[in-house]
Amino acid sequence: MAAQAQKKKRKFSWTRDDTELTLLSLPTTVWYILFSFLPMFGIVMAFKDYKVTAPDRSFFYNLLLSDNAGFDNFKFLFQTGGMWNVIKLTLLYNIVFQILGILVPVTLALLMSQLYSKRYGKICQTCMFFPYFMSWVVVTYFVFAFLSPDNGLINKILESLGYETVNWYMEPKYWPAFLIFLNTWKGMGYGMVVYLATITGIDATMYEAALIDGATKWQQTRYITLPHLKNIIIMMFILNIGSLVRSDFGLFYQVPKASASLTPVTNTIDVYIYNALKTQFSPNMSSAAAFLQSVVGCILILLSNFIISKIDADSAII
Amino acid sequence: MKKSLKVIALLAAMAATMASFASCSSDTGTSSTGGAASGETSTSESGSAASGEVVNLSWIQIGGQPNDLDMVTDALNEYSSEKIGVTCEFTYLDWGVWGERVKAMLQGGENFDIMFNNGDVYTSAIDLGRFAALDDLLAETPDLKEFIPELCWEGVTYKDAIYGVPTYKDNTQTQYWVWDNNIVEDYSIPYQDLHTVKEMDPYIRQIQDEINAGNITTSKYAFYMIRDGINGQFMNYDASAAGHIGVRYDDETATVVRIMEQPEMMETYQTLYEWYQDGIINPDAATVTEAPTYVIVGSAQGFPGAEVGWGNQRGVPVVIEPWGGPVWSNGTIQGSINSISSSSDHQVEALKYLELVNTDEYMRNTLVYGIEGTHYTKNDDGTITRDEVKKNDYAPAGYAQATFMTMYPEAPNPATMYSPDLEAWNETGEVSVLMGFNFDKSSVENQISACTVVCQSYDYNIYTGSVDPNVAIPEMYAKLEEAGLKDIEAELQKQINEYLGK
Amino acid sequence: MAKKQLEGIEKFNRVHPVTNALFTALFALLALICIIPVIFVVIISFSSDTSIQQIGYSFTPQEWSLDAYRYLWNNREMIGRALLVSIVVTVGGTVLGLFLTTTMGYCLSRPNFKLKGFLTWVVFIPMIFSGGLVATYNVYTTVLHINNSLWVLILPMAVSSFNVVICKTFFRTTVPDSIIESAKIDGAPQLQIFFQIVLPISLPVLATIGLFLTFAYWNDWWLSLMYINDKNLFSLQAVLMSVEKNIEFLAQNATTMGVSAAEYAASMPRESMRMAMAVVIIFPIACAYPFFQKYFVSGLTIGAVKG
Repeated sequence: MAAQAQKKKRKFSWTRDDTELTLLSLPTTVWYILFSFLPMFGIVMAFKDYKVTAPDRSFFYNLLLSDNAGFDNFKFLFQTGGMWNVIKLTLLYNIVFQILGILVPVTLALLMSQLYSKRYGKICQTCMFFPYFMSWVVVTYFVFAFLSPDNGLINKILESLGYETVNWYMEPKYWPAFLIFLNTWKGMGYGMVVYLATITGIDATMYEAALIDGATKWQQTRYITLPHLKNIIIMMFILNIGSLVRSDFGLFYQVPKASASLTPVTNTIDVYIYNALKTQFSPNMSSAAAFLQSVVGCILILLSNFIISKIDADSAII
Repeated sequence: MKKSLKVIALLAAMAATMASFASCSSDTGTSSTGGAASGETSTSESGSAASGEVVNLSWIQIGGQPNDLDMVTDALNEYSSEKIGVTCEFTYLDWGVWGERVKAMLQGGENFDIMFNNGDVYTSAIDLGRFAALDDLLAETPDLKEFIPELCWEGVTYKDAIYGVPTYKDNTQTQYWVWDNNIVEDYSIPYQDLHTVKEMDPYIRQIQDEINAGNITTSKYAFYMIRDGINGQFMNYDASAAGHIGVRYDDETATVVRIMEQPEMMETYQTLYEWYQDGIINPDAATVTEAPTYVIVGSAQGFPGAEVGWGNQRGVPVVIEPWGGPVWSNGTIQGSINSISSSSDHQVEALKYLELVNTDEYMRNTLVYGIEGTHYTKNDDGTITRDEVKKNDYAPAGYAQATFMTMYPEAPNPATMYSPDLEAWNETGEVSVLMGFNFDKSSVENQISACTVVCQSYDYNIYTGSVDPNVAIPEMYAKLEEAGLKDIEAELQKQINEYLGK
Repeated sequence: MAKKQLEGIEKFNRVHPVTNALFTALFALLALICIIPVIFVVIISFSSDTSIQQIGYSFTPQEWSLDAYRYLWNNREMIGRALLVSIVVTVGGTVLGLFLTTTMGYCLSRPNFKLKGFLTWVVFIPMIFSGGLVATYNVYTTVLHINNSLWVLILPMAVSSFNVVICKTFFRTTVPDSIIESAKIDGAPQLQIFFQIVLPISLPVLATIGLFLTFAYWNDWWLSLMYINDKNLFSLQAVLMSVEKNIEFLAQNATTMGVSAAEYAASMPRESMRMAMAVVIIFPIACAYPFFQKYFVSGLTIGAVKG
């Protein structure tokens, strides 16, 4: 009864506006159905022991007919006690990345907006974008040029200053700093764009009014710019928190050149999964791992979104 | 109903083409057959058009797509459609993406008829149910069954059936030490007596001293290594599984052992460790993936006669000395297999096509070298010379296609290089005690994945002598035990005993 | 008139010259840190192979060489075709992606839209969950049949939920409801409001999303390698990546491949050539960057004039 009444009410209040907006969103919705939701039946694979029993039937048919595996596919993740260390390491890196990933671009965007010469700002911003174009493979070459034990730039400098050289790829203690630096360096220019665009969008008259009231530069930033950035910052925070249990394979595997000595500081979740499954052919276990990561990411996003919506309903993304 | 009619019609057409194949198979062998055959094409094409359709297959290959692929495919199809009423389209998957693509194709259910594959893909795809068992079909292609030695078929037998056509080539593994001949001569190194790393020790040290004294400038290190260590270091162990366990190929008791704890392996790693400490091995060895083209001494897999090619690559004349093998094992045979899809509608035709490319000289050489007169020319002695420019437009991965034995060798190699020389060489190989055994890993998958993770933090370091093996190896095995190594060992031993028991 | 007045305020509302000098120095340093790798890549691409083998990658190679570029020039047909594919895919994809992203973003930003809740979930779920490679591969090749065509390079990347959410937040915060309400009172349909009122005042958003899409398309190699068989349809990034992956494969499989592996490995391009390719990839996109940049750095010193 109640549902029916609700339905009626909904139907009643359906406006021309809604029809137009539905039409406008239709192409994208179709895209989502074809390219995101259609392949999503693959999640079933995490709970199956996938076998092709009828070769001439479709993939979907064979998948559904395969034996149920329950949670067997997840077991490999917890086979050894090492998983806890892996998760701890991943979380630690990601928390640092998350903080720097917001702090650094926001600060730089604010500072850049204060430069006298716009032209200079533009040039610097362009330069800061370059690292984003380099694949981790190319970055690996570049880092190696600095850190190579034999011909590396840093060891040559150390040598000429009379210090002992370091076999960098065998010394884990330096690498957390290196990896954090590289991650920040690569994402800096890219991260700034969103904030710069928002600052550009702020109504100029507000600053004029503030100036007339005698506000200092710091006060203008504190009371006009930052509140305008707040929504975007919170949004970025929520979006990124979903990847708290993921790690960038290129950064943690390729850049340290898969060095065995560095595993204590590079064995993050995606590296672990890669190593665990590199000799496995079956897709079941990797589906299971990806599914688990997604579930954790989903919970984290919904949780933080819930907390934020309690504090400030306008900033929540869902 | 309609489908079954189609199949019957097809079988009838095939029987007809088979008869014509049998009639002319007697004079295959010379390239003149190819010429004569293509002259007749017009008549036979109209004939096959009348009797039904020509079956078109798809063959998934490995390697870069050759520029002249279309031209060569046309020539092959003209010949094969007339001979057996089958044409074939080739899809080349780049080396680096081949693994991912083949996985996705097999699991995602994309259609194909023939697929090149090897080792792990082979057994996994069979477990998945994607390859067709060929035992019954092979009765229809007796030439192929006979052409490839029984040992090769044994090597691809999995769960009591054959699921692919093995490539008959250098199927034994032999490892060589490859020395720079200039250095061997200058310092009169008795390279023919040096087989283990330990035996090489005094001479390697002597070379390093000369390097340090500035007398040798071609390399900074007497023993340059990459992270995968000495090429072929585990060649004496068969059925090796994750966690560095396996069975020595000549161990009649077929006992699973921990490879790295074996005295001869320990000795090698110990020597490497000393060399690393003394600056004889490059300090970045544990992270280097590509070796420079020139090294003073290195290990490589090959067969007699390979030194010509190695010398060209290194830029100096080389001398070689085998240190292991030749050994027959599943691993060496499963390096190249061509399997037929279980969902293919043309399994018989696909197998016939594989028979043709393996046994017919025109097909085999066109497939690997291209078109005679364009991509290569024949020499009087039975060898060929490839066109310097055009060979870049057609250079597929010959080892992944079909046998070497019907290929014309490239000059300056002797005409006898493949047949009978390579055949004879294969026969000198010792057969591993576990020949034909394939490990079914399904019950210990979790332990295996846990073990591969453990190995990741030790392997490259131990292989290159970057760490003390007396500490690292026991530590690694202790951690592997925590990860379930004992389960894998027990399961492997159980399956081996069952296999040998019957 | 208004502009001149603004400039006056701008001059007055400046940070202290010393602060400015500090900021300038800071950005100079950051720009340097980011530009050095590019210079380095360029230097390696001009180094001779013997130099790389002797002293490794170095800022001061022993010997310079044009070999790498000669190699590219000899392969100009292939490189040119790949460049063309990259440009077509990037431009086409960015235009399509902008349309799909902004329309959805706008609809989600309308507070009274009845389907808002439903569509939010439609956008949110794919952000976290995906079907995995196997199912995706199956859908693209056997259901949609878009493999082996440029469509497979364009369509799958057109929409990203991340971009949609950014877009929605932007519209929510920078487009005043009053403008839309007044247009609605005038009887304008939503389609017209969106294209004639909302989009023109949202250039920074369009530039941002456009930039993200352009970069994503330009940097992509995975779709080419996974779904394209015909090498003539490879993008530039995919050509470089396939070389890298080929070398890796040959190094790892040397044992099972026997003698052949060394032969194929020898035919692969050397380091300097790979770096030259990286240079060819970076430069076109770096030239395109200022086009986007002018929309979000234009009002840098003080907010833009609006309405």
